Amino acid sequence: MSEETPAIHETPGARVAARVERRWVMLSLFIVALFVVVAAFAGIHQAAMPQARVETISPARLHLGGEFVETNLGSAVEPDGSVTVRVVGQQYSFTPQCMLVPTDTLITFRAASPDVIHGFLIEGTNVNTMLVPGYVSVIAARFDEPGEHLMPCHEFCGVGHEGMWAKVKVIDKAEFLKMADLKPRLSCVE
Amino acid sequence: MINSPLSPSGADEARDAEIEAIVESGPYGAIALAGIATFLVVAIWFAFYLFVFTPRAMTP
Repeated sequence: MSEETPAIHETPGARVAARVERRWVMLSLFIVALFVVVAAFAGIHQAAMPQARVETISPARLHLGGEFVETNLGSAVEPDGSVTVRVVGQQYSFTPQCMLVPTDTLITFRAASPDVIHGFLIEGTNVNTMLVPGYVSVIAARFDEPGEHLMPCHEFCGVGHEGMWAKVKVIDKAEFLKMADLKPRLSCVE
Repeated sequence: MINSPLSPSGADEARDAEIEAIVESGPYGAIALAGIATFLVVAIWFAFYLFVFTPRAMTP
């Protein structure tokens, strides 16, 4: 490079390029900040966030005592009118395989795993969490319309993973409460 | 034509000056391309957020 030729970063073209690049970085940072703000808004305002507290449970004794014994699984009506659904996910099934829930009611899913990590996802809703051995996963939902929702395990859990799925059957609230009067724990079998 | 045309013949200095003038005028093609691509990604993200995620969200 001769003495007269300006260095490459000093040419007007290089300055234009640097300015455009700077503005592009600013725009990118603004977009990232916008996503963060919107995600924070979703968490704070719409309660689309992980469960508020950690509950632990012994995975080895899950089926022997406590709330996850087989007779206690399924849907139960609480004194406040909400419904709690207790579920166990294990290689390679969910128990109960079909959960019965009413429309227009706050549903609290309480789920646990005695073996490995499983996925808990209800199709058509924002319900999406993991069942980690040793912890109780709690997630709330509300269903407006009667119908059926597929509930596949979405966390690879072993050779039978693809066959591990359950269903959530939403029925009319009055009909559900009538059934709940006859039996303390409900699943689709009733 | 995608690239700005350069005169086919001419001295190296003339060509350099021509290139410098083109660079100086700004990378509008790159801005347009990157802008459209970025806009599409952001628009799809917001479309999912507003039309899929938010309607399914619930406050217990």
